[in-house]
Amino acid sequence: MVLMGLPDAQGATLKRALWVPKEVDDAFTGQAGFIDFADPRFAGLLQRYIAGTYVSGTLHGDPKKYRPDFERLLNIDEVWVMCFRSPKINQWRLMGRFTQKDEFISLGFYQRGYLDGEKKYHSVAQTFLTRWQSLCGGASFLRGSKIQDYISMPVSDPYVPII
Amino acid sequence: MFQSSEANRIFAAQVLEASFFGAFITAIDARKNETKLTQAELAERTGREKTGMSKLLAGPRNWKISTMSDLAVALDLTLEFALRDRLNPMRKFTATGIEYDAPVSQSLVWDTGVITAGTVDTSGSNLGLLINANAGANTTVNTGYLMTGTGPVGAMTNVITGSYGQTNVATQQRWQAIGGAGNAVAAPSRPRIPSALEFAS
Repeated sequence: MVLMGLPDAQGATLKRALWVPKEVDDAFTGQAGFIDFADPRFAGLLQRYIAGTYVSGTLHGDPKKYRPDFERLLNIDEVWVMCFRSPKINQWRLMGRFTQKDEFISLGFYQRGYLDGEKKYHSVAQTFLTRWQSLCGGASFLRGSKIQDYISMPVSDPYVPII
Repeated sequence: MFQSSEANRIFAAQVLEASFFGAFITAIDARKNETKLTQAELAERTGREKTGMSKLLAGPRNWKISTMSDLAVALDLTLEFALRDRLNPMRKFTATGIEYDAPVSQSLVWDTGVITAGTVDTSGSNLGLLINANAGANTTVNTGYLMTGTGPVGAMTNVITGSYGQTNVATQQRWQAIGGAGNAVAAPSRPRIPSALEFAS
């Protein structure tokens, strides 16, 4: 696993951790030759999460209305997806779990089109769970009741009024 | 940075919008807990409908300056503004002119002030606040804060993630160390730096 650093743009410090497999890190950092990841909107979410500025997330699954940055999948045990929704024609999803607050461990990286449909999502999540069991064994993961249990402020759940 | 100026603009705008939004929802959350502020009250204070307030707080947007000003006034906040010079990171442009960070010249004696990211070792200096700074053995801090640096001997009152000289035993009992070294006072830990988890890849 590789701890993601900040995109090479802002001098902020690392406040939240994102662990990804080496091949994903290569993709993010351009080592794998995927030009898509040079997109500023993609890097923007990485920057916001890692630097500790605002991100959104929901425990309520449905991303249709508000399109949060993180969503916990429904009916699957604490599997989260970090959603890179821009650019729209090339969306990516990082599937993972929070092992503790502000520490997201991702084991899967998928194109949105590949995950199209709830059924497919759940099938991929089952594969993820198998991989988690084999790589992370009995590593504990976070169980929370609100988004602030998983990600430190500033964060909000668009389905839960801030005030 | 990205190769194209358009990409740089998109990236910076996204991060900045989120930064403004994040700062305001953090403040709103604090006010909600401290003063039981409600959405209806906030809407009224900003001259908006309650539904408009809900939309405003649904997520980062390209807010107008007047929107931020309205929210700041409603929340009893003062907006501070500074432009950090990337070509000269020690310099920033503010509403009242140019401000420089340390390094502080050896010849300067600061009776009060803020020193960031520098070293000061001027005999008799009375320093207000050191951030990422190192104070030499000749420096005396009669009051102030040290954040992430090494401090001098003297009557420092607060040490946050730093260490300091310990020869002045008489004053140590008045110090508070938050995540700092060399002080017996237990205190909350500083913001977490992620540990290196080891996983099989």
